[in-house]
Amino acid sequence: MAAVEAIQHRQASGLVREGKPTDGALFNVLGTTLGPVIGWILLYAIPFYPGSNVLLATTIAFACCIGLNLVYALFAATMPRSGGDYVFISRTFSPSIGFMANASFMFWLAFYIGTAGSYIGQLSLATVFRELGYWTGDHHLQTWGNWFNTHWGRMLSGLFLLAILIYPVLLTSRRGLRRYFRFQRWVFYFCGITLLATAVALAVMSHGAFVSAFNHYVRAYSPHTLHPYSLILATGGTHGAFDFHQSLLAATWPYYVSSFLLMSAYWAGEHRTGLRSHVIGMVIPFAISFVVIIVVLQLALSAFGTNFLAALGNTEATKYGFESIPYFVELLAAWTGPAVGIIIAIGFGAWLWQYVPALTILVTRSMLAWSFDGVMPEWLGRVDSRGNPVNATLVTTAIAIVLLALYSFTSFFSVITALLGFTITFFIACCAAIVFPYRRRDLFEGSAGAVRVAGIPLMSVAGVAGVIGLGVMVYVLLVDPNSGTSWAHNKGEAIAMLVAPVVALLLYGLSWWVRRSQGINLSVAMKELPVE
Amino acid sequence: MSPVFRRRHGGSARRLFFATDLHASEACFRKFLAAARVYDVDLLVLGGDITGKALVPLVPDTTGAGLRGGLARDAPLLKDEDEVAAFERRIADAGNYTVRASRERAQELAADHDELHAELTAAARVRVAEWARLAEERLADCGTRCYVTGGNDDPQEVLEPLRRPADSPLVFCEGQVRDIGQDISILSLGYSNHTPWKTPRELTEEELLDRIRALAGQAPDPHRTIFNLHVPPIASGLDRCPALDTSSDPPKVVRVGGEVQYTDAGSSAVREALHEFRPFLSLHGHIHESRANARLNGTLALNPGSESQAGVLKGVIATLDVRRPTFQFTTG
Repeated sequence: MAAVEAIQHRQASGLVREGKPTDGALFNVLGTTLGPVIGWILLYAIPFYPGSNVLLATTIAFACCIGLNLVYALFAATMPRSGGDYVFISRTFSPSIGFMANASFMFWLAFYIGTAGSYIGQLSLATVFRELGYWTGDHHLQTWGNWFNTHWGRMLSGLFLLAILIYPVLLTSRRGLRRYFRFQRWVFYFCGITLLATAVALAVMSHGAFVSAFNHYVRAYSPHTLHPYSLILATGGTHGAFDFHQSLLAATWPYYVSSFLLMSAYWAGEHRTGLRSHVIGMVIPFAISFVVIIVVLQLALSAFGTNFLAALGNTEATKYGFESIPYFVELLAAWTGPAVGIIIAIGFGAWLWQYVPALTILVTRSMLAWSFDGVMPEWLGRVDSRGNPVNATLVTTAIAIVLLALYSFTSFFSVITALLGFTITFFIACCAAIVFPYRRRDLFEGSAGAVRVAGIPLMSVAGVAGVIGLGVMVYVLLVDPNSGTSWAHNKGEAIAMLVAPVVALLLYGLSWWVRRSQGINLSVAMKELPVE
Repeated sequence: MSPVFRRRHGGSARRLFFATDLHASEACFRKFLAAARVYDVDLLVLGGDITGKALVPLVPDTTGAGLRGGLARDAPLLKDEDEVAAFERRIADAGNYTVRASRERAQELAADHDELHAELTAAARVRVAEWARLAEERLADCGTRCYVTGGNDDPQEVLEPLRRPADSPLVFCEGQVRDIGQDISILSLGYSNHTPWKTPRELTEEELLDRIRALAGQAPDPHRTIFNLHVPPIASGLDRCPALDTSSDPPKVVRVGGEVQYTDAGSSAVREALHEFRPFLSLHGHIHESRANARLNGTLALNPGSESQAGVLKGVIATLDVRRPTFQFTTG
């Protein structure tokens, strides 16, 4: 039906939905830390999974998340409210399950808020300092870079990032997202340009040129190693013949990207409405990210050689005079020269810098919603006179610091440990999507998300695809010995993934009991009222 | 026990449900009435701004195929009365009015502000009268009372149908202090401070404070009184909204470098009154986008916000515990 043009008696400013579709797209792409994850795939997925094909692993990870990605886009179009799965699941099943799923997810986001800074040592500063040492001839500089990979280095760099970014978060998180969107746009330009430069350099650089440049670069630190490239190949061994199961398990690493391209659903209330908006914000970035990863990985494999990358990860760095294994940006920098290499390394670090405010916005918004709904104390939802959610930000920061300390000083958490925790939430959301069009026909029919394929709601179809895909990823995460949640090697950590949702459910129960004594029934916060 | 508080819950506190700024949304008003049963509350309070802001003319299609929902060439074509009824319901749910008129009359309405005002006021009055009848019908069975006021957007004549007999469950309490039992009163005032929109019921801050003081003087115990004031206190977090450039007509949202600028649009008079009388609970609306709560000098101040144009009823359930009221925002 054509749009209705009413004769306005008077205008009103009304609700200002500040999020453009492109803002959602950038938010999602930056939220995946696409650049650093490509580095992780090259650094870990090849050496840790003999015979794996990382292109196939990436394809599997993305295929498993097509349904998930569609589910969040369709839910956001159907219920354009901030809160993400808290809203979707609460309205489909019950507020207790919605809170459980959402609080668990937010807990793990807090983990990444805390640890974002600690990755900078590995992904950026180790390269920057070693390049500087190469450039200036002061080889002690690589020790500085490596300090960031020590326990205290991780802890302090994580704290540093929190300290300098929390205030901007306070300024942006409730006074409208426009300021943050501008910030992220500039970060994206920088990250995007450095990623593009990386791809161009990889495309131009021949394998022979890389070998020559790498040998020259390493000899600057280890003059007695005549042919470092050959040494590494001889020491680390070859990658081996193609192995499908290893390729499947290697999907753990690209899953970090493929499962994260839906974060804008959490501020859908500030996003322009309509399915098209969320398709541009989530579905198209999903497809583009897949293509970008595949292209950059293929270029990197051609330039560096799969066997070399496998051997590099399996060879102790001290054998060729380094204090830590060079990140793939550093391999590239050996050919581009230190100036370009340092800029690219800083660009890869920048992906993480926007991570802290972006994720803090998501977590604090959820906390405000919990407080408004009465699930959490009123104190948590309090804002200062400028509208900033100070208490929610403080609580988020405190949780992030505790998790940062656990990550820095213990081996309990790895970079990807939280993936299983996320997956629990996503799995529940996909289950909700299957039944939502039938359980909540009143909300579904007539909404922007009410799309049908052969008469069946696309949301249900996507939900089924999501459940199957996530089922595969749960298998991968429980079997992969490097996932940090392997049932054979890390049973404790795998079981611990259930702690967050269980604690959340207990918190909800406690809150329900306390609120009941105050005359508040938590179950009605999102109850749809009938139009009688 | 007062008839108002005819039920007790798991806890000792009695509860009210407050929603505001419905702006003629039929869907929201029906949801609001259903809230008494679904939320199991003891009384309903409907804040001001119940009047809509736009009118959709239903004009004959030039080919005689039916009615067009609007003046535009591609306006929806409504071929029969069923389609017209469904269309009218959709428009009403979004808080607008429909009027059947010739194309010439519709064009006259679009061009003449005074004519439009008269037509829209008449339509608003009809809807308010229908709402009053519906409220009495629905609330009579469950025994819940509904206290309703106007807002700055509501012309006085639109509010007149809300005046009901003393035994009606619908209580028009604008500019009054009403006893709601348990030694608790509700003080209601729908006027606002001056806005960039030049709405029908605006006062200076001094006039507003004088009116609140006069009403508070009638309250047996101001602390045990709910201050149901349409406009929220300034700089309370309940009044953040986009800043407006009033040099243009209509005013436009101020953007600097593409970034929306926000301001505090609440009332200093309301803030001062809350500070002076320290009611245990204050209910506000007016600023749709500023759904928030605040504790101000011992007063729990609440603004549930509004998304009535989308047919979403935003509200808040508050417990009437004078020592420590609690609340829960709802989205229904």
